[in-house]
Amino acid sequence: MKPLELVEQGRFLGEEFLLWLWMRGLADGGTSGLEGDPSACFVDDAVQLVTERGDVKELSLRKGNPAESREAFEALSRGMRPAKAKVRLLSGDMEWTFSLGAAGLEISTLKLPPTQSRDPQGRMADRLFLLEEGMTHLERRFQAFLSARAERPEDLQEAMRAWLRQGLEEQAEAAAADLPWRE
Amino acid sequence: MPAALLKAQVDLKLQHLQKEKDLAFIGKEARISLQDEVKAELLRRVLPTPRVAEVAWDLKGGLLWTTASSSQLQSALVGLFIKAFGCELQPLAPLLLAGRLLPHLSVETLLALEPFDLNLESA
Repeated sequence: MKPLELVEQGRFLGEEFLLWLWMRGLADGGTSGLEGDPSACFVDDAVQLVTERGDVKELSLRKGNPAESREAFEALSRGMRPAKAKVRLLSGDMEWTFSLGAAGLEISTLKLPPTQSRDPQGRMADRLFLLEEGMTHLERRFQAFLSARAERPEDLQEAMRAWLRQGLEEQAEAAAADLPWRE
Repeated sequence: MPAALLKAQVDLKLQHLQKEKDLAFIGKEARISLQDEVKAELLRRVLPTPRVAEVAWDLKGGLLWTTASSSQLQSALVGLFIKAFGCELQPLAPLLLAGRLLPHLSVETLLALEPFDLNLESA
């Protein structure tokens, strides 16, 4: 199989991984679920959702808190899938932010934690170390996701569906409480 | 090269050609070949704009990091990499990364995975 075919064939895994990060960010404090891993990962303030069906093929939710918005949950429950999301990764006092694409798990607009070195060589070495460190956190999560995805797919699918249902209900309740004619 | 500049130059040349040869109309093929000529001429005069993409090669891990984010730059990098080192670069997409991170999972198992149905409206 050609590399491009492999990218295309694995796209859904990238989309589901983004969704898994999103779910764990909201439901489990962003933890990876792995023992001894204190890092946390959240979907930040930009999400792009796509679908091949329906009138709207792409939905970009930006600024505010799109990860917890009614628009996002409604779109997900209609079958839209995340294609790209801004992700915030925390470990100790270090923070990485980047956009993660689902198709190739490509990373863009990466912001690394600040470095301490003053000389260019030291700064370069620090940045490479931080890059590797951040990607290791992400790969560890992908590994945890894949294990669950391959070994217990029904459980994971049901967990995701239950999370979506709960998110929709919470948003509906919040919307009902905000009605202007309600005292 | 700015498209507006190219169009203006092509129009100018067309007008010259029409006057010179006393033509009422210039056919599509002649128009296209004129456009190619003008484009080649302009390209010779345009100063190249350098674009820098950083690359870090982890020889032990067999990984290449790059800041080349556009597909054009990436394919240039892939081509140069084959020429320089004889190695073919492959994007570390989900399925390839899965094979790398979980070697105990067989290729068949990974390829047999089906997308989740998360459409609640269809339920």
